[in-house]
Amino acid sequence: MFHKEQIPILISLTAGAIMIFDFFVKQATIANMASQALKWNIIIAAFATALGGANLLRIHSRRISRRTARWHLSVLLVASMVIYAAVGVTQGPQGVNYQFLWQNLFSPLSATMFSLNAFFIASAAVRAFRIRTIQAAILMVCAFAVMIGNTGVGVALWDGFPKSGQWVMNIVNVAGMRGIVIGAALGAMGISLRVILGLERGHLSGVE
Amino acid sequence: MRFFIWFENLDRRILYLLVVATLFYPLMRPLGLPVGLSETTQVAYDTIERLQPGDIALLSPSYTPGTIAENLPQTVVFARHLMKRGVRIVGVATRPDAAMFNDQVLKTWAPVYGYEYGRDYVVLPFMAGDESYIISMGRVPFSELHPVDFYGNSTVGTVVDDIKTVYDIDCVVDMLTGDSLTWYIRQLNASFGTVVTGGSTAVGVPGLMVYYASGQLSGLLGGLKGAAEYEVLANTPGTAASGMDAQSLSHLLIVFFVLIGNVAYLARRKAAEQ
Amino acid sequence: MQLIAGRLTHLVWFVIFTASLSFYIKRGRRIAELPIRRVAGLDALDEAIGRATEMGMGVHYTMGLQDFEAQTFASFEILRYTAGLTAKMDVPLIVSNYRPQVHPVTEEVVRGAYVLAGKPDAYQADNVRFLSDQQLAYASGVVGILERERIAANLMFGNFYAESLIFAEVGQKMGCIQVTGTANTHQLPFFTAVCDYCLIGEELYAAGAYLSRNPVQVGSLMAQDVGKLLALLFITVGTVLSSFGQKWLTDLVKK
Repeated sequence: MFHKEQIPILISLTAGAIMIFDFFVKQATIANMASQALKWNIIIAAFATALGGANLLRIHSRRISRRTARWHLSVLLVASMVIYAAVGVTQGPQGVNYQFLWQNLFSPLSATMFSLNAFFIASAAVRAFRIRTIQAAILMVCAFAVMIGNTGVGVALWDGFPKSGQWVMNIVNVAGMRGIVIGAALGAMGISLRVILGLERGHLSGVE
Repeated sequence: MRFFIWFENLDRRILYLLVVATLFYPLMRPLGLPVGLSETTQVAYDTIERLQPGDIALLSPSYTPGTIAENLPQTVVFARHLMKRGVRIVGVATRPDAAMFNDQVLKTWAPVYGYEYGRDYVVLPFMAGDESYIISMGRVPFSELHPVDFYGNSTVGTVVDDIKTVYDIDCVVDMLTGDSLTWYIRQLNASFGTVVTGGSTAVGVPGLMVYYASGQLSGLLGGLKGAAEYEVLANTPGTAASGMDAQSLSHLLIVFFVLIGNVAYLARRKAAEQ
Repeated sequence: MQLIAGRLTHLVWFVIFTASLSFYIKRGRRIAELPIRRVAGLDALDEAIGRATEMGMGVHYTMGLQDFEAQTFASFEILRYTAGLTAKMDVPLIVSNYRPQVHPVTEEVVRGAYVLAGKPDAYQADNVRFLSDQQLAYASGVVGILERERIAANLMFGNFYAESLIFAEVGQKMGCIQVTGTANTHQLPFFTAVCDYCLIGEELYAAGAYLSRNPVQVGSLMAQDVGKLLALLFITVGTVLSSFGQKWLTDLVKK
């Protein structure tokens, strides 16, 4: 239990205390320790990518060897991963082949996924904007003001459309968002302090 | 009434097909609709205009290839305006793809404005760590954080040498899908007073308006519209303005469907009451 | 040692918050018995998992584009609770991860919940999956899980961006009951419009206290309320003073 709970808590406490002190006071040793901690974080994050890759390989190799349902998709995944990684490691991201794969395979595929939002926003809006209550009516009027104000047609028809859209964004939206942001920031502060002080244990397994 | 019932049960794929049509038509035959000018775009433009030749700006394209339709025109228009002003550019990368975007945009436009690699601009590699990386910018010497550039060469002798402390960064320009602009605001603007501006996908704008209203964010390009407005302001014609017609028509289609949907809903409710 | 200029207000705020946190935590049990307002989304967790049990289908859990930050830690609490319930009810739980560094912690949380529920053998390591740390590649991985793996309940708590609507719409299309929560203001409209329940902002951070009634967590909620009251007070007084041209409070908080 000690190494699963006490050591992570001790590390969190030390790193957290260093960063908090460094935020408030000017002191060379603490500044140096904070700078080292930040570098370690960057290095650990980079190494973790290999860990993620190993997890993917483990799961999909097992699927391939057991010939589970849709195992051919796992073959595709492992092959793509190995090829992409091999090209990246041998040539670096500035290499011709890596750039080719990135520009002609990865980028269009990502853009395709993102573009699904255009369709999903349309269907979600049509379903969601029903004037069931007075609040829903206000919501719809605001949405109309912003959407029409953002179109060329709105600008061409009447300059009040973009102005009302901006008013909704600058005043109504900001007022509501500030409330949510302040509440969320306090929540984040509370949870961060609990993690640093070892009072938050949701992320620790609690078992051997 | 039958029409309304039919409409309420409309297969969503028909709607998707109509969205495709409204996006494609104006791309084939541009309508030339006006783009207007938002206050946030004007402020972003003025922020870059205030920079002096020789100043240093961080260009941070913090997005994935998925959002290039909105974020890439923003990056191009900012980069071109910075080059027009003679501002030295340091391309930083909070995401793996960001270095590729910096490489692509800066390499394309540098010859046009007589920019020389190393002296006037530099492309730095991806740094893991997300917000920790931004915190590091304020606390770790910049050259120590970036000993080599994206191409694996030493950064000694480049513009990186002139960033001794965070106060040597005159402006941060971040184009994003995600949280990176908030990181820059929290860690560099709030802590060191660094000027921060940028562009976001349209969906991120409402959340960022809080920082614009508080004066921590010096202007913001909202999605494709923001980029199109900036292209007109900076007199740097690009791809954003031409894409705006497609976006306008698809917005109108959604508005139309929402309206008809509500009429159908109210008619059905009235019929049920009767 | 010297205080950095412009950090005095931060320091005072930090001290007040930490002091109220320790004050309320020390009050222990008495605090834990205080009522917390109902959070429908958290009550719906049992219903969602119950439905998956009745249908003989699975539960999918995602923390979005998580890193080790506050929303992720809040989400771990909900994941631990969810995994405990799915273990007890013998419902398959699939957890998809975005960040490789968060993945091993997720594995431990789920495994720990299964052990504590007395079902260590029911834990399947292959069901806690790292998909990709590229946003839209991760999105397609999750869409694949929702479409192929017979999911009845889609639970999404944490840090979401452009992929949120893709997940929510696909989940809706597949007929999943969807319970979500995020502090990312820009994704809230999508979750509230499409999903069955949504925790908004601070409700996500309150999840641990709500689900466990742990005195530490409830005490922390009380400290947050003190912070909120102070923020309200400063905003009200600051607005009034600024309206009458008095800038001394604004100048004071800049110190």
